[in-house]
Amino acid sequence: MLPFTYALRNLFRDPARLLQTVGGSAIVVLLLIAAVAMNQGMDSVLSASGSPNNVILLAKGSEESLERSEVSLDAESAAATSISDITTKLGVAAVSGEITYQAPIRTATGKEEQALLRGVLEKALLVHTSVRLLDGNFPSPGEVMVGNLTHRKLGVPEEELSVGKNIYFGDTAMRISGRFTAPGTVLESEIWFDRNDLAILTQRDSLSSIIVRMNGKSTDEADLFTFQRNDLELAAIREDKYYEKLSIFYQPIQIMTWVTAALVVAGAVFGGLNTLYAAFASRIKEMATLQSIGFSRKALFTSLIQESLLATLTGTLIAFILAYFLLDGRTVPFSIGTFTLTMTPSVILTGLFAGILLGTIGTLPPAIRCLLPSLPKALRSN
Amino acid sequence: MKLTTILKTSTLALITTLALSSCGDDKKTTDTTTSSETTTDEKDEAQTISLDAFIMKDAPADTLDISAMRKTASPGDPVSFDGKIIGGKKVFVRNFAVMTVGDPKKLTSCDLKGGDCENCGTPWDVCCDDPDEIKANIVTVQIADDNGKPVKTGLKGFNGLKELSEVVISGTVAKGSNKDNMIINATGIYVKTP
Repeated sequence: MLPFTYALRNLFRDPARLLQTVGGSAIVVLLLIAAVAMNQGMDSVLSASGSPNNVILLAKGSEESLERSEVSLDAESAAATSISDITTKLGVAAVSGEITYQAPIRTATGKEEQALLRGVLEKALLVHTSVRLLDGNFPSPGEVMVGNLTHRKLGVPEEELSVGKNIYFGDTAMRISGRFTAPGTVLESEIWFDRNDLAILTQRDSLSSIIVRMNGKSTDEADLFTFQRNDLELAAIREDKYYEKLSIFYQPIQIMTWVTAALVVAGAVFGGLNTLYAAFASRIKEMATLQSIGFSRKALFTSLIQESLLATLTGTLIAFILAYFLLDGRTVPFSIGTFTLTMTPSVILTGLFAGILLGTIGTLPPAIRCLLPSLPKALRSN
Repeated sequence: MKLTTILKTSTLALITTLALSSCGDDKKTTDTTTSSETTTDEKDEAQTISLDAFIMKDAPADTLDISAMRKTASPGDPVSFDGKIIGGKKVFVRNFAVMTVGDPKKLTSCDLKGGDCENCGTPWDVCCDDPDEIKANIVTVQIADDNGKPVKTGLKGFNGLKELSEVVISGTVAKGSNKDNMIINATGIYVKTP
């Protein structure tokens, strides 16, 4: 075997090429891990947003969109009294009739952006158990409570949505009474209104949905209620299944991300091949000389792979460091919430795997071409 | 010596990056569970009760259509009517003896629409009919226990019952039924066309 230092020293024979290989692989790996982190972040926020214990009662025919659904106000009390196995806290049934609405919201500085609004009463906290008040209090009439990541959805600095400030729904000013967190869920990007306020502002006399928290994970009791109350025209769907269905809606975006990443990787592989063909072509005589003094083709091939891997893995390491500082923990707003980019072990492994692939697959054809000629022919080559 | 130092530094940096990144992996709420847990829980809730006593060997005479029955019957009345298991995306409740029966003369199920209805989720859905028509021409049929609560056994598969089956039901109109919503406590089910 050739000493490892041979491969290492060869790297620095052409600093420009080294820079190109390291930089190229760093960019490819960075883009790839960004794509994986983005897809995982979106999947993760959608899967964490729904609880298997919660059942959403919504209008028949609107099972795929809470915003389109219209449920009679009477259905809330009917559900609370008719469905058995509902969780109760201090004698109060965990049933929350809610209004879900998307509308532009203006901040005090005049910035206007689409926001997710939820009209709730205090009972909402019995069903959305991940919600924790960080600051201030639950909204009373004329007030709203904002999620910890709402500022990202609105594209404004966090201070603009601090407790005591106003936001505007049309011309109506609403005072921010509190700030809440609901880690890893879409709720964290929402603005919670007093339910009656939102009903008046949106001129509706119905709810969007009723969320029922069950002791178990079965929807049978809720299904039974919808069958026995055909007049209410309700359908029951488990909350986690609802968000699972929503994630199908976002699949085209995720596929596009993968396609883009794949194109970048393909471009990098072909670019790398080109560079390495040129680099190895000039070393055919050198390889032949090494063969003539006793090194086998296998040893030379291993050395070339080592050399290439050293460059691409250095690039991979740089990509990881950049990703850690530039991507990890970043929040990305999308239509129904905000997700966080996280460098999970699977993201890191994908990057590492890509780095190894770049270093090996990209090297194979030029290395084979360099070592394939017979020794006399290779020694005579220019 | 130099090589060893470079290798050590690179390895240390890679390990540090991996370790730091894995720290942020616990950001999901604890509320989610696996589907296998769900299946187990749901199975636990199911109970088996024999429904054989509710099978009718022959169809009763003088049956009504659902639309006619809905106009005249009141809670407590004995009724016999023809119908088809149609009326929504779901027409059976999995672990309860409850199903939706619709009037096939008034409602057209998706299987008969021949692609004319875009919203069809299932062949037994009637989503393209007028919502008021649907409400007026379906009934909920249940097999109830002594307390009037549906027994905890699914009806699907019982005596060949399935979606789109044509049935004749005998029973009484349940307490609490009204002009907008009718529940029938079945005493007999005859399956015309399984």
